[in-house]
Amino acid sequence: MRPPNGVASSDQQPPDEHDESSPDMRHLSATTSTTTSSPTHDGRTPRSTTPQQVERMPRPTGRRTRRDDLAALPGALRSEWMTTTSLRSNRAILLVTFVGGAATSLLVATFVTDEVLYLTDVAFYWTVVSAMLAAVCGVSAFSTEVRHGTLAPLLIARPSRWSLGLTKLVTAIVFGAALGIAGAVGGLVGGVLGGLPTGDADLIPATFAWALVDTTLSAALGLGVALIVRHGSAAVSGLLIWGLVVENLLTVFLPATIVRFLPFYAGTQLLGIESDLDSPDAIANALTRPQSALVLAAYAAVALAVGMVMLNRRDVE
Amino acid sequence: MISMSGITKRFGSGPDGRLAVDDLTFDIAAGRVTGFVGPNGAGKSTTMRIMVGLTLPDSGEVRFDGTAHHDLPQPSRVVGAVLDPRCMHPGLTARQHLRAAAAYGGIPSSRVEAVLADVGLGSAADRRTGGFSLGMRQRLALAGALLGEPQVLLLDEPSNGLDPEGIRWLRTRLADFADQGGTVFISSHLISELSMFADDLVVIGGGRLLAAESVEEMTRRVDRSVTVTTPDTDEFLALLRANGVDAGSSDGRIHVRGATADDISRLAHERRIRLIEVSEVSTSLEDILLELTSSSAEFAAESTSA
Repeated sequence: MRPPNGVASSDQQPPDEHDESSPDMRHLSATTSTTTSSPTHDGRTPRSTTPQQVERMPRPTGRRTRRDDLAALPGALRSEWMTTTSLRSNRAILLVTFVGGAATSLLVATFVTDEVLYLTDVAFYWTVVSAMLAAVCGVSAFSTEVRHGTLAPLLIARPSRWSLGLTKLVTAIVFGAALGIAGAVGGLVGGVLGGLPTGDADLIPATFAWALVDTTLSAALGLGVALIVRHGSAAVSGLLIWGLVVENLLTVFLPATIVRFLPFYAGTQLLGIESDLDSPDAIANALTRPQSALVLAAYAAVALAVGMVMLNRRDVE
Repeated sequence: MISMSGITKRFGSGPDGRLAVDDLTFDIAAGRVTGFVGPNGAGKSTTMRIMVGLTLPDSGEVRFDGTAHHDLPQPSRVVGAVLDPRCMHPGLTARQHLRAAAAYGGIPSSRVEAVLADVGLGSAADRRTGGFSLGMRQRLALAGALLGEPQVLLLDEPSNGLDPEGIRWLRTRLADFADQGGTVFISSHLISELSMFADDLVVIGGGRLLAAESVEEMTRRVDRSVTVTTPDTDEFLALLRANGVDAGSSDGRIHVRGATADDISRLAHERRIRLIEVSEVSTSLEDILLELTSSSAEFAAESTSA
């Protein structure tokens, strides 16, 4: 048995005369395999010179291909689904979004009495907030992994960074859609409970669909920002300050021909909500819903592309 | 076997740049526990992160049985790594954490219960990891690394935060893993801890390879001497030298190399020389590590200021 502090005991085996000791580790793997019956460490039984062979799962051989990465995507998505649905915080955000939508419609129906408002519009007021929440959730889809250090184990298990990014994108889009549905359904429920007149009910499915486009693209934009910034608080603060402060200021000072290309403004335009606050210039230069969707999608695509390049190039902490 | 060849990594550029790993080349044998030793900041963690592709080296390559980590078709079946035991979402239970990890790595979920039992966390499987102690996190992180029944375990300072029982459990578990043919590469800044169960040691300092040899070879470096105090210093010193013993004196004491305390006391007894004190003094592996790494620290200081 080896004495404390690793000092060799007097009965230690002498060096094997064939043991060509060398500090060169290239040599180590060859030489040390001959010393496996050396004195035990801390009372452990001596190692057998022939490692025991245990039955293991079949192990794939060869080099990783793009096909392997694609084949791994369903498992990665299942993993994301398990994590997303297991976390209470995600369920809480969905509930808050639903309650917020319902409360907004209910409050508008109750307190706004000097004009006639229709369910087709009011039900989607909260979607502006839902989109902001979706952007925040898009950020946290990636920044949470960075904050908790779980990005490293993911990349050790699956080194393909583009497939990690794709997995996160699908997750962000699905969760963004879920937030859009929760907020819009909440808005409709609140409006009905508040007794709002329906208006043209045929408009509701289209607006509902565009609301989902808004929240999913916002989530994708948030993910792209997180891939670039990494630091969750900084990414969320930046998005909120931009969406709630900077864009509103720019809307006042910039011409309508430029304002219509701002990301969150374009997102709001998807909802088709007419406001008395809109200037004649803004109404005249407004983009169509598909055009606004393209604007928001372009922002998300650029952010994601830059973010993916940075994910591929950066070291992972 | 793991082969590292010419790994170099510099963080930053210009005069403020820091050479974290400098041309590291060594192999790690299968069926062995290899300790990776060096002082804080020696480059151990950077090296381990390079091994699994988290940090991209400026040059060099690491191969697992001839294949780079990023080329492995299912890496979690080959390499299990614990580089930071805190890597888990605090809102997930241990079981949820492992199930998600298994799904991500393409590993059957049936392995989850097996590894939970393996690391002794079966009773805590449905507790959220946010409430776990560091020791429990270490066990859960090891469970995650073992999910894919890998051939290689890479562990960065895994005994940090473990109590003595946990450390003993870890040693036994890793030794068992190596006994089954697995490769264990484990870092620590405590050579005494590693020498308790490692077979081989790789010592680095300032990012450079300082030694790579078996524990047995390392312990042969241990310098042993005997210090003797006697009223007849000159006479006994002459006697020792006359008997071919390497001896010298300072501060009224005789310092002897190449003979044991028993040999010396027997000689003194035969010649009726009175001895006041005979004590064996030996350097430890820690002394050897300090000696090895002190020179590398000087190297690091020179390279930084250059």
